[in-house]
Amino acid sequence: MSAVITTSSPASHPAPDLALPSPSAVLRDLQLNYGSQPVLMGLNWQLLPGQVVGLLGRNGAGKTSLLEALLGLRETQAGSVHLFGQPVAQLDDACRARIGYVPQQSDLFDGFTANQLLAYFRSFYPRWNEAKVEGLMARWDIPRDKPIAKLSGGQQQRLSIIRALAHEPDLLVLDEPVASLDPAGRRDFLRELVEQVLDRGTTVVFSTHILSDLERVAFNVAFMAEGRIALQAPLDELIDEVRALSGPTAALQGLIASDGLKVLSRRPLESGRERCLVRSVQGMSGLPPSVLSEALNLEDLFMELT
Amino acid sequence: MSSPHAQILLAPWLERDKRTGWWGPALILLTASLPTLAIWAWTSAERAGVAALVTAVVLLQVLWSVQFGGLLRQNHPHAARLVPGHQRRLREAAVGLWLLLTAGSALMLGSMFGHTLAWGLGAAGLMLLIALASRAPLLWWPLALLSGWPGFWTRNELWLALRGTAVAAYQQQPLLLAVVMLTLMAWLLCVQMQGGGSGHQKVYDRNARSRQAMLEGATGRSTLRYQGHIGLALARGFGWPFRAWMRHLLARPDTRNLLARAELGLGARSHWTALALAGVIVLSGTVLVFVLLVSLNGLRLQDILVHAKYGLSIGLTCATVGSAMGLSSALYFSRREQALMMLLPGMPRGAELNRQLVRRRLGLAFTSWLLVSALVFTVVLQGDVNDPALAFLLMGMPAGLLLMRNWAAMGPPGAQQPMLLTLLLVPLGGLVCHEALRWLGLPSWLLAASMLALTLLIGAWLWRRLASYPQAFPVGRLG
Repeated sequence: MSAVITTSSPASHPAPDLALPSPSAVLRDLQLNYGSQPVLMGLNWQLLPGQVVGLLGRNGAGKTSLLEALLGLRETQAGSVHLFGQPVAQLDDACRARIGYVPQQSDLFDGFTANQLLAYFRSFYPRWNEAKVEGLMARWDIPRDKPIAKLSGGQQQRLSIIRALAHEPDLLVLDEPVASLDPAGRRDFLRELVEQVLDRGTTVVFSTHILSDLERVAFNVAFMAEGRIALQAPLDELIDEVRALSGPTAALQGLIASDGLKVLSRRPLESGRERCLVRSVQGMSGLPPSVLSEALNLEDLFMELT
Repeated sequence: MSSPHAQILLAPWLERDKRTGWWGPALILLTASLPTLAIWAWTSAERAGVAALVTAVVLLQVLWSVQFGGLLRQNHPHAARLVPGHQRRLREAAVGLWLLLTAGSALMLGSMFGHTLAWGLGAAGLMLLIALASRAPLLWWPLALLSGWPGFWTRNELWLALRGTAVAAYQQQPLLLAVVMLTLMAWLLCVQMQGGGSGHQKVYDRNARSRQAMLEGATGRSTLRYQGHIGLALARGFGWPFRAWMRHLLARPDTRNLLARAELGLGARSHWTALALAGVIVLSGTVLVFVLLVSLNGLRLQDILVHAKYGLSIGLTCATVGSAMGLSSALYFSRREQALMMLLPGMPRGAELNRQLVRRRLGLAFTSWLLVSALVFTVVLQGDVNDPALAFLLMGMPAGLLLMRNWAAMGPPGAQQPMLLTLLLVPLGGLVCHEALRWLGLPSWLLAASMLALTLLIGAWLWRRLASYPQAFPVGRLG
């Protein structure tokens, strides 16, 4: 992909806003390298209470590393992460009890049975919604006394989700939570996720490659590219406001300047033409005849921005 | 050898796990050379020479086992059907290598004991058995049973008749018999390389599953996913102490037992309940063997203990040291579970976690070594502080220090690494100390005192360093 992201959205440089509630998570200037390979490059990000954010990025973009750094599971070379106002390396117990995490691999604790796993985690949390656990276990048809190693991938993933939801977290981090689920399982999970947000105002951040699921539940979408959050915005706004413009470079530059468009990416085409991805909050006044405008769906945005 | 055959024979070495390097071959070489070293130290150089030659022949059989395993892995049903000449070349490579190793074994044994042709036929037959059992692993059971059943080889009429016929034929027409037998065996070897189809696929999948289970089991990972009903029932049966302890802890969760509860998530295999159960089983088995030897064979317990003292000292110390060394695998392969543990309320972090983890595990390693050593020292060595076998027991004392390390920076562990380190430390280290004491004329208690002082000194130094290491969990994240 030759697109170059030339500007950042407000999400990449969050400014304190007194009207907003205090954020659940604030990440500032995160720098993470694996050896000589940079993964996160001065990443800034903020998650507000009740926000549902779908994290999108190509394979190897660093989504899992970002989510692990967000939870303090991976040390970064520079930058800071605060969860509920506390530095992530020094979270107190009350703060840890407010976090739920579904890792990418769900075949964990594979020597335990589902009942043993839930009893194990219940012993650590001050709050545990037994009714919710019982309801989900019955609805998702998970065998209670079979070793987790012997459950199917989908059952393991569902169990992992139940475990993460059981203590009713205020921040729920899910790394590819639906990868092993069939469409019916995905729909059921997403419904549970939406209920969780509507009932309790939980902040949810989840990475996924299944864009149709994201369209169903994510009110916000964050695109990750080149070690940063390239753009984060409500999904419906993005669909309404982002356009791909193609035409002569001069005509495009005139249009961008006159309408105050925000350029998200630009790519040179043949014979003095280029293609720009622009965002316009106020809408565009009118297009020159030489400029072609295309509306984009989420998949197009993914291809252009990541 | 033409290029495709070379590629086929090189494959097991090219596809070996690059992360574990040459630990496997090093382990095999060390294990094989230990008896020769012991014979050289305790008897004569001449006998050690014979032992070295026999060891070399055994190593040729091991090489065959590795190579034939590689050939079986390459004999994929799809390749057998779709790659031109694949099955034929595998067969040629198998027979070519088998003949080469047969000739090598025959020449080495023949040069020492005579009867080169007979040794060659024996080696060829043994390699064929290894090949058959590699393809159908269930064959190992009757082979192991027969090899450990002396009455079969001396009294079984069918076997004696077969052997008598073979010996008579060999004495009359040795070359003819050799050609017929080698041809038959070569044909049997060839048919092990199958030509594709659903039957081949079934066998290939079954062997791939058991290979994977063995590999994961050897590195301390749970193999429950590969187990059938019998395996699951056995796991349930042997897992009851762990489950009982888990029920006990989870019924009374409080801050005092928090780390003990968290530790349950590291898996049952490295838990103290599993070690205690293993100890009880090993000791019960040993006692049972002694009782059988005394009651059935009329041997005196005193005589048995004198003959078994080195074996028991080395074996039991290796078992305790091996369990401490094996912890690195258990921790590495539960690192994703540890990520979840670090989010649990109450879980210690940073230097505090490092200290508590090491304190618990070091305590377990030292206690198990102390219990085993005390038992062997009082019962087997009869409390004799000058018994040379004490050297092997003492080698287990500093093993626990390996637990005081930078866990966050550890790399992927290999299956052979803990075994190799255990063999280096206990039999080899013990042998060196044993000989040094004998040569210098020093008493064994001096070795005990030196070992204790050294362990305490290094332990204190490592304990201070622990605080400067990154948080242990998740293990291996900086490796």
